[in-house]
Amino acid sequence: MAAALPDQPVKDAKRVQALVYEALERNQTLPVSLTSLTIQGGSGTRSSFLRAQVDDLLTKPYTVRTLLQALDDSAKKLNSFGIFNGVAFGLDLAAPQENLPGVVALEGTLRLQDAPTKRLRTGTDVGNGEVSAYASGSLLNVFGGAESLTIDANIGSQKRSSYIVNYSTPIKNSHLWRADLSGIASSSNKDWASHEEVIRGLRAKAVGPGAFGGTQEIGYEAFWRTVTGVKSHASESVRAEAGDSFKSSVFNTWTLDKRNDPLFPTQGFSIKLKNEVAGYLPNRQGDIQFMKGEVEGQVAQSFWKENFTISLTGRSGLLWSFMKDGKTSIVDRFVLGGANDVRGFYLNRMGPSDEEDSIGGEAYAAGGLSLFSRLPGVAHTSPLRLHLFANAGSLLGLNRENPRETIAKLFKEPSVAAGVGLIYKHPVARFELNFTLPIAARASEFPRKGFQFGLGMSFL
Amino acid sequence: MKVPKLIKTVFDKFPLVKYPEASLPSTCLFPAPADKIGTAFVHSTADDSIYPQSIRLLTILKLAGVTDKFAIIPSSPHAAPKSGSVPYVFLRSRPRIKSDLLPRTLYPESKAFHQWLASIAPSFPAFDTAKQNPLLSLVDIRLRDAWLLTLYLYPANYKSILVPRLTQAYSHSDTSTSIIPHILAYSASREAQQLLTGSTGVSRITETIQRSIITNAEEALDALANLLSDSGTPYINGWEPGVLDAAVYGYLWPILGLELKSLAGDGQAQLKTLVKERKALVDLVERIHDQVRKV
Repeated sequence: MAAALPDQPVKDAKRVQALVYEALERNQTLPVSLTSLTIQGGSGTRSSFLRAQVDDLLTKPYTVRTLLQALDDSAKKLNSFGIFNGVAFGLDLAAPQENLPGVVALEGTLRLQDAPTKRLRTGTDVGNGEVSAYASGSLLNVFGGAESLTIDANIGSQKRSSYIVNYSTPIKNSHLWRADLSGIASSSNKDWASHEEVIRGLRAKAVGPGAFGGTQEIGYEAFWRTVTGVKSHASESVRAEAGDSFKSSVFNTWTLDKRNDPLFPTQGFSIKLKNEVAGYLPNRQGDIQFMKGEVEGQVAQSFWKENFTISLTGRSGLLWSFMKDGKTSIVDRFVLGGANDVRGFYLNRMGPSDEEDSIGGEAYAAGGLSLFSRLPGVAHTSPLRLHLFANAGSLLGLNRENPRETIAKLFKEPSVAAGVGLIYKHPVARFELNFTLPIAARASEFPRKGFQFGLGMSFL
Repeated sequence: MKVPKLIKTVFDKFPLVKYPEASLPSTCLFPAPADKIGTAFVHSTADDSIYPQSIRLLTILKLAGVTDKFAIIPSSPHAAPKSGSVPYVFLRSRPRIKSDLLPRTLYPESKAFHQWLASIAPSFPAFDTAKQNPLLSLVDIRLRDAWLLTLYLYPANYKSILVPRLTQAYSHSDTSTSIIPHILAYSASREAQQLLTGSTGVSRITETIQRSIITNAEEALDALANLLSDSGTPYINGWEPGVLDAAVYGYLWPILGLELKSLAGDGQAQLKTLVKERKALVDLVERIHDQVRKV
């Protein structure tokens, strides 16, 4: 008996738990009401903000089951703000309510454990063909309403430097809608077009639920852009584009993502629509006027006991200038090509070019078909996959007199590449090493034959 | 990563279907017409340009009779490669002069530019480095300093000439944004100040320094006017206008043409008065203007 003693508390706890579950199970439909809710902890958070999250718990009639569900939802909601390390509800019997005969009155307790409000991170980042070092400092729950102030400094291989100050706050204390205000200053090397691009400005956006269960972003941005640092070998076109421009635009992005994993989906689909109108709102500010639309979709399906996955991805975009002369800026035009979209081409080296510079296009379409399979003899859980792919894409300047002709041409003569390789799925990024073989290309493009390494969050 | 030889051979032999070039964005500059040998990137092509270096380059091209061979692009200082500045000419291919292969980007003050100019416009008076460089430095240092001081540092001219011109050059469309031209004007003024402190060797442009900048310019104007009167020829270069004439014209044309105000903003800028007082120079400007207008 002596040897059994240390297990006694565990056994007791398990027994108590089992009794509670049994009691709850038996009383699932018992009418209950929450007469009060006491909040413990969460001293860094405004009481008005906390009340907005839990007030509705006190107003509704419940059964045991619906109350537990409501408490669970509230805990998830509170956790979603990222300002608490722990959220727990407790319930006790309260004095019976005279006006609610037959209803069990309960008193609730919400215990909150504050998360640290200061965060400093330094390190290296990888993504979409870029490696960079960063330092990031955040102040969380700045005004006690889940607001955050973040300062990011990033020095990388492509984006030579970027500094972002972002203030983010829930809209009307909602856990669904957030407003973000960012100040951005960045300088990037555009090696494919022999220049540097410097951007500084502001972006304000609201992020929240969108139609058909998707998410959406609505926002405004004002950016002063400079095409500068023209290289000595830069073409006439790039030199002619050098200088300043001011973009004032409104944008909207709607995303519906039903994939089981955005990095390496094996099931599901996603759709993304992005629109931007520059120079018309508000008050016709800015000296760049255009409308830009992009659509992106992916479908993934596994078969044969998940040994194989097939993925089909498509993207397309159109940029229409509203300038008097129909001109578009190299800063706004689309680029295409590289390990993260149309493989078998150098990074952003598809479409129109002048000498050695790929100057971007105003219409594009790209698609990719990939087949992934487990590697023979490799463990079922291995993040490695064999990859067989074919992708195609077109990037063109728009014939404004006859846009349909351009659109037809996009699909009529696409540049094509195919290949085989390996995929490694890391929790933060996807790595690809492919052997690519360009099959068709335009004379103005820069195809690459051989090994191509890809690293990023999204691929064609 | 090295590809095995066998695979490389097979892959190298794999045919690549070539489509025609991708159609260009509809308003792209290139391809420039086949009869052009390059592009001249200048600050402004306007008749009332405020950029002496660009006026000089355009005047040289016109006087040498080669303007038609170039596409001329009004452009921003950002169009200059890192080590250089606008204006410059950018040739389609690297020119070869005897055994020398010259760069494609030619700055008007460079030796390569003069070599190249002599090769495409043999009738244009060649630039005599030993003889004309000292005179050119009068223009490029003394006249330049007085010009920078008057246009960029006198508040009245900054406000009434510099900012409106930058607004005009910057506005790409029928709408305009006011803040950026102001930032550009401020940064241009800072740059002018740095050039002045660099050339005068002081840390602040005091009133005494300002007076000495104007006195130096006056001496330079005197030297050029005397040279012209003493030579008895219509141009500083001689009977035909040359690089030095274009350089003088580059500064004097905007000085005479613009409503340049004094430091206090209550009268005509002293620099303008000094030029107007030297009839030989005013006549020179008119002669060159008549020549370039014809082109």
